[in-house]
Amino acid sequence: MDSRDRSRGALIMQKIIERLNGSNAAIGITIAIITIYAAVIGMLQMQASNLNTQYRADTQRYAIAAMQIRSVGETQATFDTGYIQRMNELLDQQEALAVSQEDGSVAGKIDALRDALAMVSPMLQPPYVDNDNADAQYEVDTYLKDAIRAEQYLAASAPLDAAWDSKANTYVVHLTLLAVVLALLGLGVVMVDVPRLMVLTMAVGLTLVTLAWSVQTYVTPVPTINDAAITAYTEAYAQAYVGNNDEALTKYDEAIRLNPDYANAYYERAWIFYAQSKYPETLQDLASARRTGFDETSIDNLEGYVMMLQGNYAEAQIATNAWLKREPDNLVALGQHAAIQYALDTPEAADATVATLVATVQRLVQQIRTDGNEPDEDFWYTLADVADIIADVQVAALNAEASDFPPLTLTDATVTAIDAAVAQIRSTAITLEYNVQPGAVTTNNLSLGVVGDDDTFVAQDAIASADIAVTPLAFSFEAANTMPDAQVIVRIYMDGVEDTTLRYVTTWDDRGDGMVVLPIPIDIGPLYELQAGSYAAELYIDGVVQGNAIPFSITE
Amino acid sequence: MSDTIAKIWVAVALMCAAAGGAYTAWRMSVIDDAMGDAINDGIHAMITDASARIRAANDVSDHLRAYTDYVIATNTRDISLLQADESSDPEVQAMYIEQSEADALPANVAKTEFPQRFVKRTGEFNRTADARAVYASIVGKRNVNVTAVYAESQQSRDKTSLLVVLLVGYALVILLVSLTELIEIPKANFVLALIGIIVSGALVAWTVVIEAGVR
Repeated sequence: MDSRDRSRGALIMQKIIERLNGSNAAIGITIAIITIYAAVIGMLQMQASNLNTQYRADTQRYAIAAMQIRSVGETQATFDTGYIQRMNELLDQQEALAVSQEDGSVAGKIDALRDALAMVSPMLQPPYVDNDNADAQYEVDTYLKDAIRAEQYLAASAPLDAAWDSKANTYVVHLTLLAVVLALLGLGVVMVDVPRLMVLTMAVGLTLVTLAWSVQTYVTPVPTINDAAITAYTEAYAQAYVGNNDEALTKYDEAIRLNPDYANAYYERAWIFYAQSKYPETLQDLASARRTGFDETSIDNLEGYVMMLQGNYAEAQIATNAWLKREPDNLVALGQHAAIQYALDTPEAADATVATLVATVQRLVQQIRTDGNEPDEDFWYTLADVADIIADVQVAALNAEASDFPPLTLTDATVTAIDAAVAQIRSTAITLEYNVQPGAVTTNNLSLGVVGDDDTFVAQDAIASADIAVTPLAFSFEAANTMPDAQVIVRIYMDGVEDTTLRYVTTWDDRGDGMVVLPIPIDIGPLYELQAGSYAAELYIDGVVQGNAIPFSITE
Repeated sequence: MSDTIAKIWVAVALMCAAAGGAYTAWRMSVIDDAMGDAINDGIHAMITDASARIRAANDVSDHLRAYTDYVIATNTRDISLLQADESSDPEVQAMYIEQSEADALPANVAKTEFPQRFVKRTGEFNRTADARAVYASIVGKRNVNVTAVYAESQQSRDKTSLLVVLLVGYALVILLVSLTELIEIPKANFVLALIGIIVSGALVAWTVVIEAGVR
């Protein structure tokens, strides 16, 4: 730039400054215009704030309503599906007893008693009586739909509350900027020359920024509540709850068509697809649920497990790792991670994960008990599930047809490691659940059978259901290192899943030398019989599992 | 009309617009405060209502259990008495009558545990009526009319939405009066100032009308 250009620039600048020096009236008008603009922004802020207040109040209302509907409904349903059903079952037993004793007159009178009871509860009247899904249907009819609807409105109102809150707060920032603009314009009136040019330039710049920002804030879309989609979702949930998966799918499709960003609908539909073994669709819906804002780790859980079911262990490992990153103490995540590592035939890594899992369980239980509480039932069920998933990996290698997972090829080392891992998890669970110090008992020659009339043990792997009450199951074994009053727990599994109502817990002090017999009375009453099927019994002494669960079958 | 007088009127007009704007903003804040109170009252009413319904459901459940025990006990007693009637053996009859007395014991205990007025002739227990009675006794005279309370807060919101429009009106008045800076005719400036004063007065009156709830 030469000196002539510089002097020309200075001349232009001089002219601008001179013109600005004589523009007090224009600045005054500008102040008035900015005031109107600020008033408009104030109006928008007030509207946004009002809507924010409204949706916040709605969110609170729906939260309270959902809680109240569930609480009242569950109280009522607990009476009808719990107390009344138990009374009805008691009458069934008495009637069966009367029939078995050929006392027909009593059986008839119990029918009359049942009729009287039916007047107390709708559960004993059509359409619930003789309905396999009576409990679920009753819950749906009495409160569940209303609770789900309120919960969906709660879920839909919360983003509206947040969106309008954000808009209202942004408009406050705009108002603050406009106040600065007005202050700069005010200063511009009393200043001259270069300072006036500077403050006016700054005022114009800030005004333009605020204008662009406020337009952008105004046009930013706010989510809306889609009543029709919520209605479809509620119906879908109710249908799924009573087991009508096809009808539920149709309704979830409708909900998603009405609201393509309906995260809850994608998530729930994923569970239906999972129940129907449609794994690609499950994963697709889980991804959609995540994309549209569903942020629960249950997505990670199902995603990883479904990938395992597909035999896609590498992807499952990535998904489970992501889950562990979010929830390092999640027992299912740790268990799933170990199961995947076993499936990938890396037993050392899997054993390390199981060790972490066991340490985490011990720490969590200690923490809960230090706080003066006890772990809930779900905690122990979760541990049982974790052990089952790991065991199922082994089944996939040894007897693929019996496993949920596709066939696997595992080395002997991995198969052995899985046995040890499952035993360790189950022992840890039992030791912690019953709060016992792990003992050092070891048993040999463990076998399962029955105790006959002459109190002798007979090894047997098939038992008639009618006999089980009179000739109890029994373990026979040689034990070493037993302590006085050892605690014995027997878990009975049916088709691989423990029936906790059959769990037998006792103190064992009959420690003879050599072979001993431990009867396992299954107290299910004289009228009930164990359902025919494949069972297994597992023995724990002082919290230590003794060998593998021993299979047996109950025959008709 | 001299320029000085016109300028005095312009100043008065600006003062009216500013004062009117301040008044409207003050009434807005008062209404907004009332709206906040109404929302709090609404939440309070809703919690009172929900808590009463939950407690009522628990009480009804207790009553239903007691009534179930009563129904079973009385019917069992009746069965024993029928069996006594049906028997021709005096010893067996005596045994059944004794049994009926034992059967009746739980009924005696249970019948004090539920409100008998809600048992219909059909033997059905009117849970809805029981729940309403328990709810009413828990709620007493406390305000649980959530709809009314929320309607009040909605009304306040509507008022503030209208009042904020008036603030834009005051800003327009200020702009209008500011135009006198560009006009050098005292008469015209006087007219603009007069319009500003009249409009400001009208906006204040409108504020009062909106606040009073008259549309």
